[in-house]
Amino acid sequence: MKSRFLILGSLVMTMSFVGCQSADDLLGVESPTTVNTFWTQEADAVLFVTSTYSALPGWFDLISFDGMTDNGAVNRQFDNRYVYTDGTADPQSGYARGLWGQFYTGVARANTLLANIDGIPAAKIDSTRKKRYVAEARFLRGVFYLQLVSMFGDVPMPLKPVTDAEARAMTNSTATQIYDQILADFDAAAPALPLSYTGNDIGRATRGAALAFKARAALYDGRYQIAADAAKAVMDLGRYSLHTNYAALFSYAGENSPEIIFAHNYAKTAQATGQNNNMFGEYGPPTNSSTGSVVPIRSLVDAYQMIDGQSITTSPLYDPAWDKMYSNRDPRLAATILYPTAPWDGGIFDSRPSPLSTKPEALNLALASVSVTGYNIRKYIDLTDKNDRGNGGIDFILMRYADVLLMYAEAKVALGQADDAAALAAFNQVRTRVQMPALTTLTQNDVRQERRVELAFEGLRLFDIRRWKIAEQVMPIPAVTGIDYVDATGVKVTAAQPVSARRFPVRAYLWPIPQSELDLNKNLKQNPGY
Amino acid sequence: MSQIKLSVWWRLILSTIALLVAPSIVFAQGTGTISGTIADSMGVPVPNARITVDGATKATTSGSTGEFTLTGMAAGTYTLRARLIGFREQSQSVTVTAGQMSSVQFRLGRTAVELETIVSTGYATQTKANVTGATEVVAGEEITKRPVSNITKGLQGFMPGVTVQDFGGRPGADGAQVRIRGATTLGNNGALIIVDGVVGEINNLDPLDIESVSVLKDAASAAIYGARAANGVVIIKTRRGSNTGAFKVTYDGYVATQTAQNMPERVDIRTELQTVNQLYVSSNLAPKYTDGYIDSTARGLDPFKYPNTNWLGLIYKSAPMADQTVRLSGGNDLTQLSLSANYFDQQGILTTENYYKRYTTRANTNFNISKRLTAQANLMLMDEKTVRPRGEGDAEFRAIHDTPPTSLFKYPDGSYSWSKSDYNPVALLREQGNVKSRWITTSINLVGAYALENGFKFGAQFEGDNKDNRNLEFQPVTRFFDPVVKPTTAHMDNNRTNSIDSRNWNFNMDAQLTGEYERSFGPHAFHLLTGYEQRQSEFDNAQASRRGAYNNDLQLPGNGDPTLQGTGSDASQTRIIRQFARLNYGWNNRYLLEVDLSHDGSSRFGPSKKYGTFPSASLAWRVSEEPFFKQHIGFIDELKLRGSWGRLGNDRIDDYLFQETINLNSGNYSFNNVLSSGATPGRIANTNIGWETTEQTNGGVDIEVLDHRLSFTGDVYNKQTSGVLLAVPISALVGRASPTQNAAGVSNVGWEGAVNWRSEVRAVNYSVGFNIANNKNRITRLPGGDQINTNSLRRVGEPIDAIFGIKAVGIFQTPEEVAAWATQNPKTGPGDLKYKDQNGDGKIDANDRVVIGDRFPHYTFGANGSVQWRNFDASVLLQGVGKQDIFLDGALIEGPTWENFFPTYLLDSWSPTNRDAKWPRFVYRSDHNQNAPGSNSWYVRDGKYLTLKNLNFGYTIPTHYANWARMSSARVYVAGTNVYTWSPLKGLLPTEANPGSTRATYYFQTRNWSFGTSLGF
Repeated sequence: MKSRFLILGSLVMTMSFVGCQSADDLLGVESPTTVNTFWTQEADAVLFVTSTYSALPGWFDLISFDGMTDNGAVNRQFDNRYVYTDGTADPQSGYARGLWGQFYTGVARANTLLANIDGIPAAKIDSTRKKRYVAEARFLRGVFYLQLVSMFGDVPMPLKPVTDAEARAMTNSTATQIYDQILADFDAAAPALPLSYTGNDIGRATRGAALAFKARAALYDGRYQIAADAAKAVMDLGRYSLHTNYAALFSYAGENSPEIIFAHNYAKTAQATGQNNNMFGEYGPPTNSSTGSVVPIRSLVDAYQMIDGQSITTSPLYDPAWDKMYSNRDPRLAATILYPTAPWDGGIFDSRPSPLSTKPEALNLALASVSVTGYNIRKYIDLTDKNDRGNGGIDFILMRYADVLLMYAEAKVALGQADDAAALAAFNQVRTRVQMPALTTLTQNDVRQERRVELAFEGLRLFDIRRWKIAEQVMPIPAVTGIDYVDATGVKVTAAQPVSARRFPVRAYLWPIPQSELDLNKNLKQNPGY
Repeated sequence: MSQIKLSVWWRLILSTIALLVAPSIVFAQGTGTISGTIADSMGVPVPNARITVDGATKATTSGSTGEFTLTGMAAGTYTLRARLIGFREQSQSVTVTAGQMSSVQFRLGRTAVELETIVSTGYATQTKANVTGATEVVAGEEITKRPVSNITKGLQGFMPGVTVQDFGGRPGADGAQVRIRGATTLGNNGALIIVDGVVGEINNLDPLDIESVSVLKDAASAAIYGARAANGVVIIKTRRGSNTGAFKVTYDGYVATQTAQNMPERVDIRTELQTVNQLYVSSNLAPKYTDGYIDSTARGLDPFKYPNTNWLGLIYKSAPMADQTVRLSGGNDLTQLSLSANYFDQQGILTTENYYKRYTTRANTNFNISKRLTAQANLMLMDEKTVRPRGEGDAEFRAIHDTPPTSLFKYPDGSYSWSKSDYNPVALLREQGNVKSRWITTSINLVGAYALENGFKFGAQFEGDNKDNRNLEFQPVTRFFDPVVKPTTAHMDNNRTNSIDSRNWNFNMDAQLTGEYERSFGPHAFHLLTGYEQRQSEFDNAQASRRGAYNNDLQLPGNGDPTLQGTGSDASQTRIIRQFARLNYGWNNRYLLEVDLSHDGSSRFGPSKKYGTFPSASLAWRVSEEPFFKQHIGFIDELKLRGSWGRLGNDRIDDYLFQETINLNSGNYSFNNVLSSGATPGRIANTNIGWETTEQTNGGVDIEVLDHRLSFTGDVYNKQTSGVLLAVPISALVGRASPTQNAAGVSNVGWEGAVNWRSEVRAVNYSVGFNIANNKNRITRLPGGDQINTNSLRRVGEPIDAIFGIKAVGIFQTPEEVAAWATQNPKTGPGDLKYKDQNGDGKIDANDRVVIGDRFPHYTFGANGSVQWRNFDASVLLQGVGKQDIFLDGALIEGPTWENFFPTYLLDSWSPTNRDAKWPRFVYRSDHNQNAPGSNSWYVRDGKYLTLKNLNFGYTIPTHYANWARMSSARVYVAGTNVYTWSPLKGLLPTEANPGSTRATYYFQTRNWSFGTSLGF
């Protein structure tokens, strides 16, 4: 009997040490979302195209961009966007690094789709739609590279999915090479994309969007003939027209307007997954408990003409009194900016400091949510959202017909065809839509002026002042200024943020390539001056 | 290996059956009974002493009156041993005659006898004298002397090298962080918790259910738990019944009152308002308050017109806590059991619904099925509930940070006022809904053991536990206006309800087989243990949410708007397979050797990295057992030298890191206002993901002198961890998250010491003890370079998450001094902080940041004393930290700058008349940033402290009175917890500085006074 236990004992002990080899399968657990089954059917491609759209430039950044120009200001110095206005941005600055990551993530998703879609068996994917998915991916990749090249200049340009090792071996492509590729992507995408969509596909890239973005890319790189032709092609599609009411275009009422060619789509119902926006909460006025982290500055206010088509310095209609200066102005001023005396939320916006104003928007440098200029953004701020500030659903327009018309006019002027009737007509369409007098001749300055006021706070001014090389003239100012008001002693005062001197070193025409990327890739060259 | 692939589960089942059905024959012979009593040297009965019979498996435990009985003893002469922690072991010889009862009396002397303490070493227990590694043990009674809500808090101060950091008194979430010998990894640094033989949780155990807590600190002790033991092991045993020949009912309970401890003190209102006025004036503004206003406020003329609101007082209150256990325990030769029911109720100290309640029933049973076969069945059912306000944290923060005392709480009509700021902390606390959580845990733990007389012993254990959790978070529709000051501005509004219901399900299954062989011949003693363990854990989660319910009473998601909904789910499972063996060898009880080997496999690792082998060895030399020593150095009773080396693993990393995954529902996009699902590539897989490996060397000494009354234990150790998991930065061009790699290294070097004295003077028994430890933590390898996170840094050569910022070297006294110094800020002037220009570029900026502090506590110590005289007993426990850097941020250093909470210590701020100040001058509003740019060393303060952690006074009612009340024993006591803290940081309790946050935690530590009884029936 004793030996029986000895045997049993040795058995347990032996088993303890040999049991493992056949137990490998026991340790082989698999994640519920393992990748093995991906890229086998059409739905996989659809999911990937969708996620590529989500890397598009968004409301937060596009409005922020105007806060880095002579249109607006980042409201607080400790905000990470502030360094892009006082010349101190360096390769460590975090804001640009975030955008670098976002657009390369978009590029990587587009590249992943382009590299894998052919692996889906033909029987499992509709061949027509497959062409459209490829075209959508190329279109989106073009949009991402257009953002990257206009922000950072010569950047690396992967055109297929890369591993970390491959990424670390890449060198800068020149801006010209990148623009060539962007134009090639839009050229390839345009014919394969439909003119329009129905149902839940509305909002995807269309042929018009590809052509319009081609015009923008060509214009940014000074290829004016290509730009003019592409813009003309959009106009010739005959699908697009200007929304009658300029102010309403940037509200829920304006969604799906024939003026909108391409937009970053948001939906109120999508709050749980973050596909809504927070425009009201982030950029709305303190009147409605919003933050207003980017605010208009005086320079932009002064840029709006009088209704007679003259500037405030030349028009007899201009009354510089603090409460009269906003009268008889280009209606786009009221649609874009909240200023003292403007009607707002059932009352009058009054941002003069206390005790002149008792309203929440009263100038107060101590309160972070109150505008340092006394102005707040009006465009895209829809009072429908005031009780639901964190959950906005207005689509943010990335390309609209007015932009195409102005690009056409600009390209024509640049080509020395300022007297082209079609260019003048296109340009005047934009002005007459807001009842501004039509011009009879067209100059470079006219086009630039019109773009600034028409497209303020749509994320385009930053790239306009870069390509026009006027940033070094318009950016440096001793202080950010805002509203006028008459203080208790009867003296007229212009609100100014005392420590907001702006500088613009030449290097700032391009943002620095993030240091984190340079640290990983010794082959990359930093932009000059950093 | 054989080609027959029998599944491991089958093998396990078969062998278990084989073990259980093996024949067992009980020989019935003429037997007799031994009955006896155990008392201390004063003749006071000693309950719970363990009585064993040399050379036999029989054992029992003394009952409440010190009595015990051993039945069924074959005729013959036996040596009986009686032992209990705190007493000297004693043996007596007794002869049993068939059919007769023999009696025996023990008188146990109280001693220090640290080395006689029984330690759980994993799969076995040993006396501390025979342990070769570094271990600690605390008896359950020691912990329950301190009525605490959570056993982790109860461990504070007892064991050197076991650091307990307490982050406040939030009910149901007040478990302290327990670290053994520093932090070995950048991830989870918690110790492995073993409850009744299997991996368990420490936080929800009721302290009254604990028999003992053992801690295995060095690699050699912990090595039997190989792959999971790198952060040390805590072994908890719950109370069991014993063979007392009878059953008894006991009741233990206390009621306590909790109050917030060490709340910062506010300056008087007149000083506060005058200071604010001065600030306005110095910023060229008109004074904010008129003299009349200040005077009226200070005199409290009209509380509505001139409010002086004590916001902290409106947010915190004192709250009760109670813990009660009824237990039936005892047993006979066949069965011993402990059946207990426990109810714990802790109300929160916030002035809104806020509590934790726990109901536990536990049945721990032993069956002596035959002479050889024993079995245990341990069953547990636990129900836990908490309610916590959603506005918690926010409210406390705003009360200190944003709301001046001149802001009114409520108008006479009961509506909230937001008069002087946009915050009303009380409204934030009480009106934002709450989170209701519930956990139901069931566990079953079956143990079988079969012992042979030839030294073989086989054991099998199966454990399964299931934990269901439900959290219901509800945010009501709220819209609060200030009806008087700003009737059109909503200060707190949420126009839709939001209800989030999430369910989590955890299921664990654990099976173990062990075989042991024990043999002594001549001077040699062997003990071999081998074992096999298989563990499987599954986790599932589902979540559903909807907004927009019709009203605030409909709190389930199903009542919300179907177009405003969200769902989510997740699942994961892990498996572990282990084989382990341990050999103990002793020669003449003098030279002790232990060798451990553990071979562990985990499903969390890459295909080729699943298994790891973890060896260890330890040696001890009981010098005092040497003949020469016994002859010549008689005053030293015990002297033991210990040395060990071992390698341990850490598998507590995320699941599936080695697998390529797709993130579904990631990168969603709303086309045409309809949400479309997206998919994005998951984290890059690292197929080579493997163990984090810690190698630890330990040296120690145990000494007992003066007739065992004085004991000393000391250890030094060196712990080197390599392959620490780290997400190494990758190029953004890849467009995906970084893969995790075994890349970083961490070093921990330290020492520990404990000294205890226990003696008696006439009728007074007393003991005192002191322990202290220090650990130095350093990162040794960090690929990818420094990781900077606002004000903390990870850098090679520095401790994990070192405090990082600008070095402040003093306070500017004159404008000339400012001008001569590096450029800081255009507004810098006398009274502002002076920063060191580290890189000499003439300006102070982020490039001048250096390491300015170490968040880890150093020289952690505890001191305890106890005294017993007749029926009275008293004990005291002190606990403290000798060196610790605390980084202060926010309102606690801003005070009148932002017109918020103005603590008294800030009165010592710089002014032309107070140049030798502790704090820089006050500056108006955002200009304050010139004194606190990010973080600077001025606000890194000495966080050393000493806390009177516990006081306990008890009285044992004399037996005859107790008997008169039909009780066998009765003790009543009064105890205080967190009674007082001494600290250079007045009003800022340093134990509350959470390393994970830059601000103090405002759920204050509580001070508890409790009254309790222990009754035996």
